Amino acid sequence: MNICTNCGVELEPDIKVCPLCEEPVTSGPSNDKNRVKAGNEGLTRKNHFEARRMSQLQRKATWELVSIILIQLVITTSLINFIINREISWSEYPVAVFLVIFSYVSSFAFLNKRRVIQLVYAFVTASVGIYLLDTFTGGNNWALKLGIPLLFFLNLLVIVLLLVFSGVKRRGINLLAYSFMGAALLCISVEAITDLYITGEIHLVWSLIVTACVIPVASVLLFMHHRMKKGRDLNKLFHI
Amino acid sequence: MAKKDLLNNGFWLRLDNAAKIYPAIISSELTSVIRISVELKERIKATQFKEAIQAIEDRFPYFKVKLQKGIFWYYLDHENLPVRVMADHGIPCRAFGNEELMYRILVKENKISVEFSHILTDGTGAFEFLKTLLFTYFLKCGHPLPEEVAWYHPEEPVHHEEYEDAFNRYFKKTDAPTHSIPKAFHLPFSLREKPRFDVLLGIIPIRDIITKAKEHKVSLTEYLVAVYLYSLQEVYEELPQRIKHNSHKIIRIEVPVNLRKMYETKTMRNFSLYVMPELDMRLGWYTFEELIKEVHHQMQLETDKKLIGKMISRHVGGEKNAFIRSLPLFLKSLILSQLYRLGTGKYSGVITNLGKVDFKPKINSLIKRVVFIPPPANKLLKVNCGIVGFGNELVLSFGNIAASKKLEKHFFRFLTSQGISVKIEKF
Repeated sequence: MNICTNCGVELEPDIKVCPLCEEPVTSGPSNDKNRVKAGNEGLTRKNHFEARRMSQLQRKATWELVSIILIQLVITTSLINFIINREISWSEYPVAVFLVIFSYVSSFAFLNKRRVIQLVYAFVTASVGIYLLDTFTGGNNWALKLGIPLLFFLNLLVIVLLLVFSGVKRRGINLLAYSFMGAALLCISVEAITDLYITGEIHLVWSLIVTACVIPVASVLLFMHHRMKKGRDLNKLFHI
Repeated sequence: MAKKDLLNNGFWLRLDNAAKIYPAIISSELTSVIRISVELKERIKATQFKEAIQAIEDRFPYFKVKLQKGIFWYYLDHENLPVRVMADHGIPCRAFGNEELMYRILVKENKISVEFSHILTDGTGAFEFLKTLLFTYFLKCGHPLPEEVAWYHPEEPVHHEEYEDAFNRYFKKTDAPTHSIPKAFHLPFSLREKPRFDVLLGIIPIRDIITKAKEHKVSLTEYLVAVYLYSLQEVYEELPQRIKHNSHKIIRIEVPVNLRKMYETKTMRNFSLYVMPELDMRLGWYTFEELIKEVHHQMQLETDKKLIGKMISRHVGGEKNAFIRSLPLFLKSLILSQLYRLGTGKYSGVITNLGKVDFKPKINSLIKRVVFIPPPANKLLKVNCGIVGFGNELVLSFGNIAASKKLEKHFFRFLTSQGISVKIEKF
């Protein structure tokens, strides 16, 4: 008689996995009772995740292409700036943007970690890059007060959105609503940081208008998402 | 209604009146999960058992639901997840995760168990489900079933009464005032380390204990409730004077009553209320004869249909109150958890008798034992007791979260002093 080593039920002779607890027949007692099940779930999730990611080769090729374009652009803008002004002045800003893009592309291409870790790593390298750029091009004027704070809030919002997206049970237009709300928050942080940099105090105007416009839109999207969720019945959500 | 039609119509359910309190209080320790187990004489045949599960899976669509938060109330939303079958390891009555159905099937060698959250049903509903599973399994194994035993056939359509809130159906508004009852004595034992829930079984020859109950001219439940109260009285008397002085002086037991026996319904959801026989320790020591007389009369009085109707009215009336209904869920949950705390302060323990299980001789001969484990008690009550009879055995399960087993000791010692043999087993 064939007996499952995990749940102790009687198995037919040709069975390889217990149909009840899903324990492989040949193995000994398992500590993790749902090993097979959990393993399968993990595999499905991983495949789903991997399917959306590029292969290592594709990532490397993309990085090379982006790097070549960025280097060409840096050289071109710097040369034009130098030829016209006999110094490096305004080209500092496009170079800063290219540095940031380069940091993020490199992190996504070579750091084989979770997306949040990649973002944190890219933020750190990009911040160091723009700080050094600012320092070597005539003193520390904008990196600490403007560039790095803007980058920080952008990263923070993207990370929060990624975490929210991964925690959402049913994905649909609710993701768009969350993105809108994230964009509104980003506008507020951009205006606050630029206000502080330019005038030394925060006086929010345009970002509040953006937020006031975005909140009703996001609310309608969330309402529609709940309305569409599993049919037409709102009674269950609002039953009193 | 055909099962498919039911599900195509966006099937969802309001929580029944008794279930409403549970989402506000459940935790990893206070799980509100009940278990009924059947030990067969032969080892479970995996293939046939799997087939039986598949056959009955869609028979009970009102159990294939997930608890969801509404704006004002929790509700049960149909979720077509597979029923979870697990190897029966570890402690019983574990909590359910948010992403799973609120019932599971457990197997181990020759033992089949089902665990249900009280949000879905009570002991009777869980037992009817287990009966269907068991009978379908026996059919798959080629055992003929007795025709005289009623059960839910996998092929038959779902009757709408099966998922009705019978409390609501039998609610009649009454103006009779309710009397507040004083707080009760609670076992002053320290708690075990987590996971706290520990189950001790006492197996008693059913004939012996029925004879004893008959000697006192009471029912089996009344006899066992009297023994429970007597044991609590002994625990109380043994306490140091200082603790005794600070304890509440009323010993009161909650005894659930299956309302299906009083009101016509096919409901598979919660439909039980309770009676609460009590002793006042300020009146002195009760002999067992005095105590059993008290219990008998109190239980007879409290199970009066009019008084039960009044209790239904009080419970459902609260739910129907316009102000309470309009409160958002988080406020309701706060209020309900406080009500639960106040409610459990009014009794010292719970003893639930599922009754005697009889599947007729042919099927009975395939079964060794039936065990009913009540949900883990909260930190105040500490001990719950579940009783079920099968064949020649009465199985008492004491689910305890306290470090001390003094109550169980007194309980079983009293029975043995009455000439009833008790076999103790660890679950």
